[in-house]
Amino acid sequence: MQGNHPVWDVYDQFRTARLNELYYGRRLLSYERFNFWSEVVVAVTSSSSAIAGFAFWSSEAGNPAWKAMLALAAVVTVMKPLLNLTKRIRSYEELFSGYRLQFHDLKDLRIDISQARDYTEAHKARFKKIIDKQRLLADKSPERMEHKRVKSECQAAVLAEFPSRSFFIPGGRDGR
Amino acid sequence: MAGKDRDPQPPQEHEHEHEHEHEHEYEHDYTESVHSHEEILEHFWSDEDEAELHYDHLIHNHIEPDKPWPRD
Repeated sequence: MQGNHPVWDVYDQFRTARLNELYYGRRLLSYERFNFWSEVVVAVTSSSSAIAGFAFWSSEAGNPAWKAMLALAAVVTVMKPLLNLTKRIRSYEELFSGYRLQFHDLKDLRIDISQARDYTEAHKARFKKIIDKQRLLADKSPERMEHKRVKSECQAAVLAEFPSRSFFIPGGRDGR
Repeated sequence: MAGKDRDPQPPQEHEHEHEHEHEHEYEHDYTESVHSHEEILEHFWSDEDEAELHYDHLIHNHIEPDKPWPRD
């Protein structure tokens, strides 16, 4: 069965690296957005802000909205240091760029295998090196739990991007 | 040693030492504050199931697909 060919380990890892790149990219974006909007809320509600001086906030419609914003700003101010956003964002950035690099290394390897029309010992050695480098990404995850929805969306995206038939298998299908 | 190439300037070196001391002090304080936040978070989210998942996640420190990638 061609499904047992050792080259599939490369392609599995290739898709897993892409999954991690997409996943950590999405998580990074969410935290960056949260960080941005929390800064906006705190800046807008600060006493020195020009927006805080708008006459609208004293009106019947504006007053409840202003109170809600103040409450939100208070919650954000308390939560921000606890969430340690800066550190989290930095960890997500490191993971994102780490997996992006790994994905590109594996993409290179995939092209070389396809060009050589074979999975040689040199390819295996390169694959081993790439896998070893993954250890550097260990212990960098800022997450307690995986985000299920994001993960399944990323999985679907990877499968759509790289279906099994898109890979070259030596000795099978379009291989020798 | 880089210091041997330069003219000896004891007062400046002393200042440098002082600066380094401050750097270490700052680093130390910063690390301590990070740890205390981590501890607060740990306490905040303490739950037996979640703690187990957390431990599990530390072992598998990257995202794996829910089931093996299809090969056909």
